[in-house]
Amino acid sequence: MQAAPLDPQDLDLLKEVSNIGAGNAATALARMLGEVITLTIPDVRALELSAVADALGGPERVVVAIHLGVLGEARGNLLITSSPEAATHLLARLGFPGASPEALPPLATSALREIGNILGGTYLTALSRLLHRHLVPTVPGLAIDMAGAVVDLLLTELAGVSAQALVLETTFAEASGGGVRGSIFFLPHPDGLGALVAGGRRQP
Amino acid sequence: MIPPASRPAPLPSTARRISIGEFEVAAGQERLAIYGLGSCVAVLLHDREAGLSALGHILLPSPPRADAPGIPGRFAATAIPAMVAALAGRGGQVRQLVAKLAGAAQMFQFERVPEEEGIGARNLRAALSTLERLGIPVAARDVGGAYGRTIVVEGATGRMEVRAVRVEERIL
Repeated sequence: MQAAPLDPQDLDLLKEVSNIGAGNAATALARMLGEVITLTIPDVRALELSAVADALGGPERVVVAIHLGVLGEARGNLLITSSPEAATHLLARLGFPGASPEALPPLATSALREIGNILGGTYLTALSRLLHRHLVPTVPGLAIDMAGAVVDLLLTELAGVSAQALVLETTFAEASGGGVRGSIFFLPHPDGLGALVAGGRRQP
Repeated sequence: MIPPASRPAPLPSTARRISIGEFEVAAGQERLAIYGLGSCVAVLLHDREAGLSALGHILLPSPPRADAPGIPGRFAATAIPAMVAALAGRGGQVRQLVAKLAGAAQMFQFERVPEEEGIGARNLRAALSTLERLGIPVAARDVGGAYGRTIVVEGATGRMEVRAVRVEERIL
């Protein structure tokens, strides 16, 4: 089955809610770090499955990635990524100076997963509220590896049902130029997409 | 500089990229590559006599439902027979084929999903059972673990290089 193509209004709606979700996530991160975090304009694209790794900088590019599955009244996957350098900056702020993603102490691993939990949970809370759909994140998983390998899991869920992946991307960065930056990717499952946008359309 | 015999020189990086869900056949000095392989399984079928190799970048064990998109390369159960047919079309013979496997990792560890239930392990089992059904022996494998791999294959020899970020390169 191919998911029905979304009309431009639906794509605008998804872009808008993704932007608000990422904005709330950025605010949560800003509070933790005591820094201003800015967002780029959100991007919504329907990509060939083979192009999703390219959206993360290419299949062999090493990324620090936190994955949260999305369950509830719509399904999907959240991936929060950063470069190893940006993750090193973030870890230093969180009290792990000198911790490099190549050799992470166990507590730093937990800290990164918890950051993912907070960012992903905040993003989904906003989507749930705006779209009137109950969305719940799964326990976060962490991988530091090639982007192609990291996105495999997300693509396997789409491969049986869709030729393409709908990718909602928002990028955040520390306004001071301090080096903390990353991206939030949301890949809704095509089966729940209709319900997801229908919930948003009901809004006054 | 002559590289030591135990570590052959790496194949040149000019290789055709096999994207997720695709497969291709190569002969002679032609090279095929899969960059950043995670839970997907890379299946190489090699016919030494014919000097041919086919490389597939497989996502899932089998089509999840009857109306799945018609892309045989995505599923082990359909990709491997299609690769055998593509090799036969170039003069290969199924009874001369050997297989090499790589990938099938579990990139994220989940508390509720043991490794043998993960998608990587299920892909590997599906590839092995399809190969067994077709009577194709498995000559070598570098599978599992929690890390990504890049694969480069040479057509004529079926030599497979496996590279990873934190693991030493292997030649299959």
